[in-house]
Amino acid sequence: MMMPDRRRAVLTGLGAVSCLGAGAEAHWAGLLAGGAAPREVDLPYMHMRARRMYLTPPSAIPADPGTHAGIPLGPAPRMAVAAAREALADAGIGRGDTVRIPVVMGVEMGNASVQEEQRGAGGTPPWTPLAVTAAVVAEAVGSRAGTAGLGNACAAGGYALGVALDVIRAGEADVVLVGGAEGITRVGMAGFDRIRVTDPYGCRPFARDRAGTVFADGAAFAVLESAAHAASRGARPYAELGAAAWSCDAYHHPTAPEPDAVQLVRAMRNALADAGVRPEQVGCVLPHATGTPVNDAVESRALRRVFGDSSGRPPVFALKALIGHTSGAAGMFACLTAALIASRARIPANAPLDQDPECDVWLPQDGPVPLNRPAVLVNSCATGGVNASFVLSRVGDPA
Amino acid sequence: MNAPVRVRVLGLGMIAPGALRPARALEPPAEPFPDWFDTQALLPGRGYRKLPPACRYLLAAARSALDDTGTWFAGLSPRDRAAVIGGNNAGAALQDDFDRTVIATGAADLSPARVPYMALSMFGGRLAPEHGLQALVLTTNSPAVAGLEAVQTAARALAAGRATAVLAGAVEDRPTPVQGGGSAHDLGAAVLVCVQEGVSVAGERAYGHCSVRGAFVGAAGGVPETSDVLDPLWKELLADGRPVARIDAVLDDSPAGAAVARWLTARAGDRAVTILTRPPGSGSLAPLRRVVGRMAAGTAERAVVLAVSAHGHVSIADVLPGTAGVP
Repeated sequence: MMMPDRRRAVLTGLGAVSCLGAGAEAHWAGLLAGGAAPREVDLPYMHMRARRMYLTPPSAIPADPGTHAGIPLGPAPRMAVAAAREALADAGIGRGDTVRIPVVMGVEMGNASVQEEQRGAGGTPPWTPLAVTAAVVAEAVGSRAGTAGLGNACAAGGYALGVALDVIRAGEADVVLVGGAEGITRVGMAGFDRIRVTDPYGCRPFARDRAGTVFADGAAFAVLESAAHAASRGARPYAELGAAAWSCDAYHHPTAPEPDAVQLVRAMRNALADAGVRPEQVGCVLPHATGTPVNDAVESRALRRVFGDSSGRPPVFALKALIGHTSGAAGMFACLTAALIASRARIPANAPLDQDPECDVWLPQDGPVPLNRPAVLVNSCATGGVNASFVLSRVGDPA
Repeated sequence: MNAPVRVRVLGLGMIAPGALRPARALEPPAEPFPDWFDTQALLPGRGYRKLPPACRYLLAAARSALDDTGTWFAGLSPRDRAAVIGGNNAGAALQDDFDRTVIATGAADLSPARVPYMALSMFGGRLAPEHGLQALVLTTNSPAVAGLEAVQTAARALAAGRATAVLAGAVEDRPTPVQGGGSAHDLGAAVLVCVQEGVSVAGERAYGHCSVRGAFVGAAGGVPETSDVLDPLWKELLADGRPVARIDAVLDDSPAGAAVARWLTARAGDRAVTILTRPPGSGSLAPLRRVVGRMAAGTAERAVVLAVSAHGHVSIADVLPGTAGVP
């Protein structure tokens, strides 16, 4: 799995704020404890069928920063700042060393809650760019390098990780702060409710009675660093990011995946090939697995094509059943979780479910299982048929 | 720090009120007038009528840019074709309308056909089935600089071997009047057909080369710090020493915009400088429109196009028109 140093990148710091609490350790402990449950969203005018989300506890949402460039900030950018600071501290990078670190973020709806709050109050919403979050994070951590905001819907976080890898491989930076953050948006929930892809009860990927996805808020960050740079400063990586591959279905329906999953399979295979990993070296898969009937069935078929039907196929960990679907941040929450799985060589148990025979994947549910093979494959997909797959691999001894 | 990755530009498309050709991209932006966008003429075919207006602008600009490249793009495998599209406000009015509908009567009254366009990424995403783009489709969304950011992201993707050709562009519509921001600079779409530097395509013309670098000067815009950040960036971007004849700067009256304007004054020398000042909240089309215009101008004059957001983003594009652009 070794590749030339200039192409190698490692994850050296992690940070998170989610329904499981503040901090990457709270995230891991929450996963081992069985995850969170969705709650009713306490906003006015929730005139829709499905009104529940996996919500971050108010105590985990920081009050600052309250504004940026005169624009009020909703919870999502504030959570992003907290998660970004945690990731930098975890990597051992102090504020004085952040000037040349770019910020790359997957954000789709970002700061929309500020507009919605004022509309709901009958006021005039201020103009705010939805994607102000990367700037807020750059300001908070003291970056003066370029930022990049990416909005590939629910795959935005996965694409942010790929762009961060491209930045390092292009030699533009040695270290990149990469993350995703999303908050509660009434219009986002209502839109998905209108096209009947939200489940009023809970997020149940691969379950026989799954009825759609359930959204979540939160922020997840990682410090991505060239392997050589990390080694030079003695940083201890959680995992190596071997590859991040992309594809697009180019399918005619905007909210349905290509039924044959040809392009998703291609993304997975390209990621494995670029990382130098064979399918039999994959010890865990974090699928996109939103809980929508079509997506989970299509992704299950795609996984069987990559890994075969034999008993050697890897265990699958359906993260969204435990923390919900964090939309534009989902790919980064999957990255964070995969890095913890790789470093601790342990896969948390899946949420208990009555598995749909149409979704023929291996979902260990009786308790955590060991990561017996070195690599973790992650999928991140979205409406519009955009697919990102990436591979994290264990580095040295478990942390 | 490595030298900036350049793209080679093979096709241009421009759709804006009064500027339906790349050669008109440098003209002063016009207010939209009735029927300025003739869907039947600019986007012949079926299935476009129900799309949000900005989506139609982008489809038309992409079609125009691809027509400009001849038959070459159509001969590529879909797995080699890609798009990176920047935007800030293309879906803003739709989101505003949707939220007001939910507040007034509920989600059941939303248009299901328009639901996907709540996500800004669906505007660029609509290009994928239209042109068989299977390599990647990606949306950039940093305020004000997303159009230039799209070219930078496309250049990296090409260098990483993710695609052979990328449609790099920007699409914008104005927010609703109640949302305040926006200007006539930022209504329409611009698209550049890009390949990796050094890639030649037999029989096709090249408009030139372009590379983009980004920085963050902060929202407060401290002047000494602005110089500390932008001086090295300028040096890196223009390291080959060829003279810069023109500078086009798209600014606003924010502290960050004012600080960059002062830095630029010290940098300008005897170069021709054009400053476009817009209200904060305008979109990301105006800077890319200047790139298209400089590429289409038919000169070999090196130009720099610079954009700043009130939030602290800065992007600088090095535009090298003509086939002699790169040593």
